[in-house]
Amino acid sequence: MDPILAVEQAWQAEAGAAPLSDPADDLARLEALRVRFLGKKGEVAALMKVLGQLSPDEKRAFGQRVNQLKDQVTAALDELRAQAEARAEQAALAAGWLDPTLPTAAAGAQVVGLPALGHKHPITRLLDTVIDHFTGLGFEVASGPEIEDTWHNFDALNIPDNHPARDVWDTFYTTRGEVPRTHTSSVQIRTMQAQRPPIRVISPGKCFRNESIDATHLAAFNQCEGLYVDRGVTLGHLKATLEGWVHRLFGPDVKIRFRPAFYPFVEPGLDLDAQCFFCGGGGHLGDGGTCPVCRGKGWLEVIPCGMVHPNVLRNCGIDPAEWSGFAFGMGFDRLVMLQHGIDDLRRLYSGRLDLVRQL
Amino acid sequence: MRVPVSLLRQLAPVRDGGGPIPVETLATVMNARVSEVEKVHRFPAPAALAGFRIARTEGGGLVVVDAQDRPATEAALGIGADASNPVTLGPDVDPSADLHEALGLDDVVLEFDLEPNRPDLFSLVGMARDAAAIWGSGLHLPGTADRTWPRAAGVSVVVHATDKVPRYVAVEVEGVQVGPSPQWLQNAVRKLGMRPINNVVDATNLVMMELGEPMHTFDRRRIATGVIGLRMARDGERMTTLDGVERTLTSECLLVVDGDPGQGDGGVPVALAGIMGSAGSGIEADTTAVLIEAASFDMAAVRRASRRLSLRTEASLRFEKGLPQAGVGPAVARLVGLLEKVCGPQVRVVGRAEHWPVAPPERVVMLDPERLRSRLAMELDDDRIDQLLGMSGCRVERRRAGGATGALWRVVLPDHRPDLAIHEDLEEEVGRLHGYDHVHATLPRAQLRPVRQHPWFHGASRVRDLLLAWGLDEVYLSAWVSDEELARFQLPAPGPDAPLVELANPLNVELRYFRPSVLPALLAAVRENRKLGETFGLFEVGRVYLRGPDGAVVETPSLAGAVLDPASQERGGAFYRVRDALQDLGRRLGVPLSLRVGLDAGLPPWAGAALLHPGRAATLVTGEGALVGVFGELSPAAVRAADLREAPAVFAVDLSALYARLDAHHPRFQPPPRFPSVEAHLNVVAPLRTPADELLGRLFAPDLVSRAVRDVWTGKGVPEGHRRLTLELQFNHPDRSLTHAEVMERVALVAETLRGDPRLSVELPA
Repeated sequence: MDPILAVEQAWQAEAGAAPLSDPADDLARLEALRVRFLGKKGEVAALMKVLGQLSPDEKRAFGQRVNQLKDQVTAALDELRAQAEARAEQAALAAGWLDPTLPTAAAGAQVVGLPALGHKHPITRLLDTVIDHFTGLGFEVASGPEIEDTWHNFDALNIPDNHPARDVWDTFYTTRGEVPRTHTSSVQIRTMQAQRPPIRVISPGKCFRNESIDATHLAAFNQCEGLYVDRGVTLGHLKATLEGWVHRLFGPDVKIRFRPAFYPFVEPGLDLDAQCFFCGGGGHLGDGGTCPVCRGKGWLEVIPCGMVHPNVLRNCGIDPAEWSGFAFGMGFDRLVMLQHGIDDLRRLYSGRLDLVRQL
Repeated sequence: MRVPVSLLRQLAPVRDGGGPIPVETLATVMNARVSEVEKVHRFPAPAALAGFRIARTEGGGLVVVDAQDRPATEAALGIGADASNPVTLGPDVDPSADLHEALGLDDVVLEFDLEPNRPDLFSLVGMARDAAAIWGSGLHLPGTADRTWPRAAGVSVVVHATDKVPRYVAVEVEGVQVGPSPQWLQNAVRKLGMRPINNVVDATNLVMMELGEPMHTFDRRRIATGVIGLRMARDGERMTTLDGVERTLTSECLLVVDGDPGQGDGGVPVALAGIMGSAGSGIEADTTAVLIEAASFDMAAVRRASRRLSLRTEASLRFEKGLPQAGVGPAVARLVGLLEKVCGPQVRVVGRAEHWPVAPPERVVMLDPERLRSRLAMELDDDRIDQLLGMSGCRVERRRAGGATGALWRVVLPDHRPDLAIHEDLEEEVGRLHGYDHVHATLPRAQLRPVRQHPWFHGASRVRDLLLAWGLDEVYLSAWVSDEELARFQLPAPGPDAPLVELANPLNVELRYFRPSVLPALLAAVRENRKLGETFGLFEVGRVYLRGPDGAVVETPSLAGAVLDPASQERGGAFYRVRDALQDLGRRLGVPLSLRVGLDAGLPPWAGAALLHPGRAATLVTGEGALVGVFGELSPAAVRAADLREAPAVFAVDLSALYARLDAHHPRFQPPPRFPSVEAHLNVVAPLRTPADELLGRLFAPDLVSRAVRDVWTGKGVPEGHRRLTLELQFNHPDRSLTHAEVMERVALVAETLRGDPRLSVELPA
């Protein structure tokens, strides 16, 4: 009998004998078939040995037929394997149906080993403190879109296009020209557009800057800004308000100071420094080493702030001749990093529970 | 900006009662009133230089060498950052001189971090002006008195881009001998953070640092036509800059050219105005005649060109912040004076050419000193305000001019302070120079008003507290996903019509799309935490981002989380924990959640439905049937995709529905029954996939007040494909206790409600 025909018939017999019957071992059986027919010592390989004994003319025709057979078996096995995998998946999905309406006790499915009380993320704890403190002073908490338009994020804040001030913010843009907000100041703009003074509001939230990520810089971070607009608001009001907050944050004896700074949306613009809570402002620890928190400076730069620029008020339809205000902002991640001595900001967003369970 | 204290003191001899202000005080006060002092650079003591000496090179110049006679660099000497070039000394130095003294190291350099709104501070004079104002000292400008020179016969200036070049001065100088600078000039340049090159370049650099006015010196031979032209570049025009880079220009670049820009091909570019000269146009060793360019360029034009070419220089840094037109004259005068001093006895000005069609108008602010005092919350008398503004360069005219608040002052603003423009700017100027430590802190008096709570904050706070109470820990996760994650987790595929918010300039491909679903980040966190333990739960309150049908971004407040517990996975431990937590959440927030067995069709992308095991999942809806969220065990395929070993139960919730009744949720009180309830059990054998709630919902009888599944049994005694549910029924009559017979009667009625269903078999209690 023709040796090729013999192998072909053997294969047809196997393929015809319902090779898929039990999802549990279909794959194993298919593998056995592959070895039997296509393996190195398989039946197709054996046919190639016959080839050596043939004349050149016969060789060509014979070789072609063997290859056809090989292709046919390979294709059939691949197809069967795909079917078997799909059936195994189906079987896995079909098994173990859970009745979501069953009481946990009746289902006998208790989880053992979760903490009795979960742990709050340190950024949330700071958020809670900020909200508690400022709502206590009569501030409302405002929210706004994280994906902003350039007017709310820049123009309204007295940061015109093509002005060097825009370079200060390394800005992301979406493919359709929106701006992932670089600060929550955009929420202050929306608030001033929506309500008339007096305005007292804080706006915590996520912001984005196109900065390379390292231990002290994140491209997405959390901050909180505050805004106060009323008649006759002064720098003295700003100072007292923030002094109270710094005392809440770092302790009642911590001193503060202002330094001039430039932010286009405030005038005067200031940076508020707080005396280092860790070393007490001396820049050194008891053993003479440099303070790791302030790095020897004695002061921590914590709150950029200032008196709201009249252009910003005007852009929101508020008359700066009648109303004035102050604004401030603070980076949550950095504050948390300082408070807890965290060495790398990325840890805060790593999703790792060893961090939240420790703090 | 580096400010050597010795140079600062020459310009502003600041003293207090006892003598010169100590460096520490200088740094602290200027940090608080001028700009942040980032660093204080101190030089090595004389003893530290003991291993070095001055030596003569073969060429005849002087250099510093170490003990092995190798040339020493700034870095080796500990006096600067340059670690590649030898430190040279001026021809005027005596080789036997003391090295420490020769290098002028008895000095301290304050390095300031500057803000972009104060171009005047990018100069020693600007710094000295503030210091003089703070300590009330004099201000000695360095040889800047304007000098008059004849019109140059052989040089003219032709400006075509007039709006970009308000002023341009060219001064032709001859008899220049190019060579190394004298030591004092080399020392000054080095302390200012630059490297000494030759006397002409060093002098130009010193003036830039002194006055903040960058000038350019051309070799006179390179302006062959004698005409200096200014025009915009043509798109695609090429030019090789001084740094040897050939650059392709655009029509945004302002050029200085040799030749009339209106003639022929528009002249040969010799400089990118305000940024950098062209290769070969600068000073060479054999240069004897020099053309000094001092100009005022439009700040936006310099900035655009500098951005376009990614070329930032000390010059562009200053021009793009806005330099005063009035600064041009003093700067040229100072530079010519310096060249006369350091470039040999033959130096002579041939003449000058100038383009300055219109001087800028006077800028004036009407100042209300009363308003200034009150806004600053400082005690300041009029004379103090007047004095501080005067020291800043303002001209104060305290004349009476009627106004509601009384007398207004007319304040003429100085050219060198573009940041001063409005009343508030003068408030800042006076406040910071006087010292913000003088601000009286007083809390504002304000009208009380109810504080409205924003649901996205105080709702989120309630949600967090409840999940913590269920033993889940809180995490913060990434807001972005990559192409690869979108594909791997079967989220919407990118494309022009995809509902995704895509960044045009992502930091890297991992952070390219705002997440349409929290699941990729959540599962990464599960994988990470699996290394720390087997059983844990975590959640995140955040947002998910999708585009709506109109293309607008929709940000949805999201809650997502996972519970992993391999030990109870088969019986659905994590699954039921999640279900209980979410239903509790809904109940406590006043939005009871109903379960729909399995996953609804057409769930939004944030649900991540493709990742869930269809037989171990459910959909959560409000009483009105609105979608709130989904939960379920991860499917085997998703477990592989997430590179996990076991399947966590995960959940994704749209919080907006849960925030609907935060402050309006007042459940009605049900008094306890007056008579004790009676409990009875009923066994029902039902096909496996009949949800318990479906059976319970069908049970009716008088006085039946509660129904629940007590126990489930499959196996012995129950047919294949079925399970036995033990139902717990409670009966209560409002007016009396029920007898046993009455209860049995009612249980029989309950059983009756199920008997019509052929799939069920009901076993009454004995």
